[in-house]
Amino acid sequence: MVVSRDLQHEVEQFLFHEAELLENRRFEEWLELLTRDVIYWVPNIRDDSDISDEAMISYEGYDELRARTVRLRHPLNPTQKPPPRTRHFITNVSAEAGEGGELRVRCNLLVYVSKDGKVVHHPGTSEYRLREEDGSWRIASKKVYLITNDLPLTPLPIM
Amino acid sequence: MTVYAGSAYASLVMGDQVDSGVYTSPEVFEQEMRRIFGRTWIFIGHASEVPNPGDFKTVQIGQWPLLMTRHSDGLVRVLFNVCRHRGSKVCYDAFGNTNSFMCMYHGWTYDTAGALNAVPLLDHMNDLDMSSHGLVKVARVETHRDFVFASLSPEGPTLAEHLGRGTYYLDVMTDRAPDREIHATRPIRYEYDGNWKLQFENYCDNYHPWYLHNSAISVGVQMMKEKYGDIFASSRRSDAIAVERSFGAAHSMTDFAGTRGAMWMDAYSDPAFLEALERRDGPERAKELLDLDWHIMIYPNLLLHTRLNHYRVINPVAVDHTEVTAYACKLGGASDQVNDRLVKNTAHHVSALGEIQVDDMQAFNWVQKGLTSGAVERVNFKLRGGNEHWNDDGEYEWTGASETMMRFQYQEWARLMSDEAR
Ligand code: FES
Ligand SMILES: [Fe+2]
Repeated sequence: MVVSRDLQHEVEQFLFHEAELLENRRFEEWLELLTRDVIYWVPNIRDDSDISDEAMISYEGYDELRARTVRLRHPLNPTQKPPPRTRHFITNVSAEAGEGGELRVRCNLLVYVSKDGKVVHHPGTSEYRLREEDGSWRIASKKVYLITNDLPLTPLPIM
Repeated sequence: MTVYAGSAYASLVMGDQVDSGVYTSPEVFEQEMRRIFGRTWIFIGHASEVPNPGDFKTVQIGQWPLLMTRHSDGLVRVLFNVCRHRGSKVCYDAFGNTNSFMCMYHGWTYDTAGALNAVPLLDHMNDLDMSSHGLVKVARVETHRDFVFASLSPEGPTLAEHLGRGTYYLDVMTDRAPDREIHATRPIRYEYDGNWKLQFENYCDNYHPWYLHNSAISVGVQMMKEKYGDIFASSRRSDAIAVERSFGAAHSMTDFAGTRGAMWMDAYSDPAFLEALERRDGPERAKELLDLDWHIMIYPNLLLHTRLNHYRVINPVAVDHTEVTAYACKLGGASDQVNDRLVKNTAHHVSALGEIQVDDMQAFNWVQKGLTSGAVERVNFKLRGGNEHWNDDGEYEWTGASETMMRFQYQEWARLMSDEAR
């Protein structure tokens, strides 16, 4: 079931806001967008890979993501010297009602990463479950399907 | 650009220094592919990657597009993924299961042993002998405990001679599984803009972690403390000291021997795992196998990790570009709980969104740029280990961080790069 025009607009604004936080390295504010039981998931090789059985490019909960943001701020983190510069382009947003008042959101995603004199891009699709907590939307799960997930990769920023 | 003639390659190695051209010269790279990768034993895959008849994987090593298959006779073969008609390819997927490979260009079809068994318009061909037009096999294939190696050279040392004491380490890697079998899972792949040797040298380089991985280690320890209390400090033997060994021609290993405490031991928290090993080997050996924390390097392209339980294959693409494929392995006879965690820990260690290997990739990129600038002529491997000596197993052994194993690797590199090596 398609959501109302207002809700569609709200969802899009939410995704743009998330992208802006990541692009501007406002990682602590990004963490606040997540539920405590969040799953952040980037499948490896194929989109329908099985978490019980296969390695993932990322499969992290809140604590791991918080540790990641602390590492990103650490003065001796070699991958942040200098930090990659990123832009997240988000299109083809669709939202529908999910279970228990959650929203199921899908969008296309194109992340550009500028690092060490090279620009690489990562096209893909993101799938979210958004849950309302304390009057605002929070990310209960985010799954990023990169069309490059079957290639050898260089370090990725939070997508 | 310097041009090196014949055995002049050996002169690029000067004891504890090597000419930076070994990392940056396209000519050296080309000769390495011929003289090292084209001559010695290279690791292709683990037989568990192709568990069933008809299973295959395609793998690129250097310029060679290879195909590892398991045929209906149960044997693993290594073939060139190149059609015998006019040279197109016959297998298009990274992995899968099939009973035949059909070249899409003109339809020549091969079985999983590489035999040519169908040729369209065969009646109209000039005397085509199908039996001599199967997929080209690599010259030699040998397997040790399911680790499949190939040599593109019909002559030379056997795999057992090449591995030397390496067979023992591959045995232990495998025997840590209660069933004495490990099972590779779908790999994580990464790449960097640097020479292949940077990855090989780095894997047992214990000089770098505290600096390069400082952020990952300190944040990791901090997070562990918040979650479980101070298990890192309490699990780390204060008298522990890492032992390193070089063996065979240019292989080496590090035994972390308790210096990394409980790191990644969460995977083994299921008591049934230790119990299964105890039933098999008795309590003392079982505990040893449980705690085992080894990095093992088999020259020139295989790296193994006992605690995270994975192996990695290095694929040199160009003098300044390398791909690495990491296979987390499940331990046969261990619970899903153990194996899930092993796979997740490996992925978190090596992936592009992981927390350790990304640091190394960054350093490789920096080194390659630095050396390509030509600013420094020589690279230094001067660090000595403690108490260096030959041990009873015929290995050269020492304690603590050192660059001794790199000196061994470059001795062998110089030997292989000379004209008369075999
Ligand atoms: S090239 Fe393969 S059938 Fe012609
Ligand atoms: Fe490292």
